[in-house]
Amino acid sequence: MLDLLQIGEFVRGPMAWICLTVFLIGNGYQIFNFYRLSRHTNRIRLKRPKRYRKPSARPFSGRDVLISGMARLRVSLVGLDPLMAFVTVTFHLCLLILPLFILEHAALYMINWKFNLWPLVFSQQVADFLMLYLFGCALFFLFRRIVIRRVRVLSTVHDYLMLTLTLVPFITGYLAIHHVTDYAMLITIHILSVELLLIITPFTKFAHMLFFFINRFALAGEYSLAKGRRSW
Amino acid sequence: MYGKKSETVDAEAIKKILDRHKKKAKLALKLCAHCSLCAESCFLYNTRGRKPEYMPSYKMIHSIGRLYNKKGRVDRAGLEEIREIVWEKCVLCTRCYCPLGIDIPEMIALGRRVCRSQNVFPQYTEVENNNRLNNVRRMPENRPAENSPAHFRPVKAA
Repeated sequence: MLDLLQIGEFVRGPMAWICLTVFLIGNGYQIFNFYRLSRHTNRIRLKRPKRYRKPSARPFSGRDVLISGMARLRVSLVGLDPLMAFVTVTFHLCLLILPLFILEHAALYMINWKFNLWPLVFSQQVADFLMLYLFGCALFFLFRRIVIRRVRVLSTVHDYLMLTLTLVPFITGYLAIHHVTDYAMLITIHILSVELLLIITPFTKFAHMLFFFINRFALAGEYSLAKGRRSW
Repeated sequence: MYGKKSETVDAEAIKKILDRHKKKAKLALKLCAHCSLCAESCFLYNTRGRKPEYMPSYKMIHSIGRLYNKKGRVDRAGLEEIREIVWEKCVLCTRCYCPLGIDIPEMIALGRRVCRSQNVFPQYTEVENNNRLNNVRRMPENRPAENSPAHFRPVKAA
């Protein structure tokens, strides 16, 4: 029978590469899918009729840009629900940044790839704070899903499962760092949960990780961050 | 003008329509993270007591999502419920905004297409019909030119 060490070796070695390959191929497939299902659109350029043009007006003065920018923010999520916007943005930033710059992972980069990330590595206090902040954000999402009616009516078991699956690597990592219980078991669960996430991300609701960027950069829209020309 | 409304629903015909848009609809339904952030962008949601039934995502999930889950096998009562969602709770103004880029109006339009294929159409009360007729009468091309403001008068060909 396989013992924990052998399982750990397999999970850390070939399994990790398989999961990473599935993740990359899956995301590639979703990008291909997006380009196949969407189409290129030409930009519509509207010209103001001459009689409405004020010769003295400076159309792109700093004040105009500031006012239009503030008006856009006011009607966007930032203006309508600032708390949700803040929590969502910081939660997702923590999800991406925390695993990359944590001391334990930086040590792994150093050992395996001789890649030194030292000046950017989070101290233990900062990492702990961000980890607890992440749990706080997750609690906020859970609370929102249970309490707010409009979110509750949409919620299914999948949504709660998604939140749990996202948190499992962080909880196990946190417990492993602080040596709460059996370290080997915690680390194996930690790696396995991340691998599971890598495999399912392109094919489940987690695909929003990719489509958020597609929406902001490739799709044409008023909240685009780039001049995307695709349309569904 | 329209075909006769039968009690049975042609599930095969519905499935054919759904299959034509399967990939896009499946992706839209899969992507929806049930975050409800689209709610505020719907003017009907904002003006009708902020009821969850008016949320764009709710409308998509309970119309096209329902049709896909049941593979087109819905009864007449089910189609009537979908009609209420796609016609009475949505005006297809296309102003709904999804942070993940889902094209919700297209999905609602697909729901309408399915309903039309089964002779399920929007229903209007007498008052609504009169209002619509009055609106048509008020259109610039339907009113006498002498009563129209200059900028509404139809341009005559030279």
